[in-house]
Amino acid sequence: MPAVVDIPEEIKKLRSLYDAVDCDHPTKEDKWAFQEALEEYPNMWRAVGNMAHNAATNTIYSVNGPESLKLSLVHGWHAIQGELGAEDASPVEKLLIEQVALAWVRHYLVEYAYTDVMHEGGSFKLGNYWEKRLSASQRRLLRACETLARVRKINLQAIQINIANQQVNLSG
Amino acid sequence: MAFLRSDGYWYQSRREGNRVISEYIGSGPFAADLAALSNLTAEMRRHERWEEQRAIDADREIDRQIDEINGLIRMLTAVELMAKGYHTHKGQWRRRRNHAGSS
Repeated sequence: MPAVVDIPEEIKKLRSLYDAVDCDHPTKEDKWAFQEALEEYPNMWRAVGNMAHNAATNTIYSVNGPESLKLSLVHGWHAIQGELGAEDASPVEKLLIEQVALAWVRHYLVEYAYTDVMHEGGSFKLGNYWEKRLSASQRRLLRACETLARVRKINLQAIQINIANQQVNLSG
Repeated sequence: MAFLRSDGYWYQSRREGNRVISEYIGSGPFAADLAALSNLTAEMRRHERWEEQRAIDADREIDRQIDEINGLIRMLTAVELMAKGYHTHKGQWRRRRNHAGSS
């Protein structure tokens, strides 16, 4: 069983509050609570980025394949992020680039597993399972690319805000 | 699964839908060997199915983690865009007309 990526309590709290405000008519209390939670946890960008990195590592090392495959995937994970301009990207774009890279790693490994199962003559159940996983990972990769493209199209302007007495550059 | 009845004859049971059918294998040492082989094959098949299920469970756990992280990234993107005066309309992000700083 692959290692579980731990979600910090602050992020879990933030997500449940976000679910409460992500509707047509959120209550004033929910909006306040969400705003406060955002201010309490200014480093959530990095925390989620780290989670994506850990998930990619777990995904790569959970596969039953040769070491060369794992090393090339680790290289690919970094290379894709470089190609998509992660170095100069804003925090939100950087996260979306990590999402694309994670989806790419997953898709690559599912393709590998599918080919392996088909080659080894695995059971019908297993073949069927990997075929579905292949479609799902492809959809996830496409969706991640689309989101990145949309946010880039919006072409966010740099803004600075002060959260908990810390200056944070949200994008630039 | 093969089993020895009290009368000294070997039988093998198999399932057909909701029914369990017992088939006669034989008696003596040869039947005992056949029964052992049959049980070993069944055990190997059970182990293969268990291995398959374990791989599937582990794989599902990876997908669950990735989806969880994607949900968080979606949330942070939405927070960022909302803070800048965007809102969703039919699945598209649009800027509010009267938002401060809009051109």
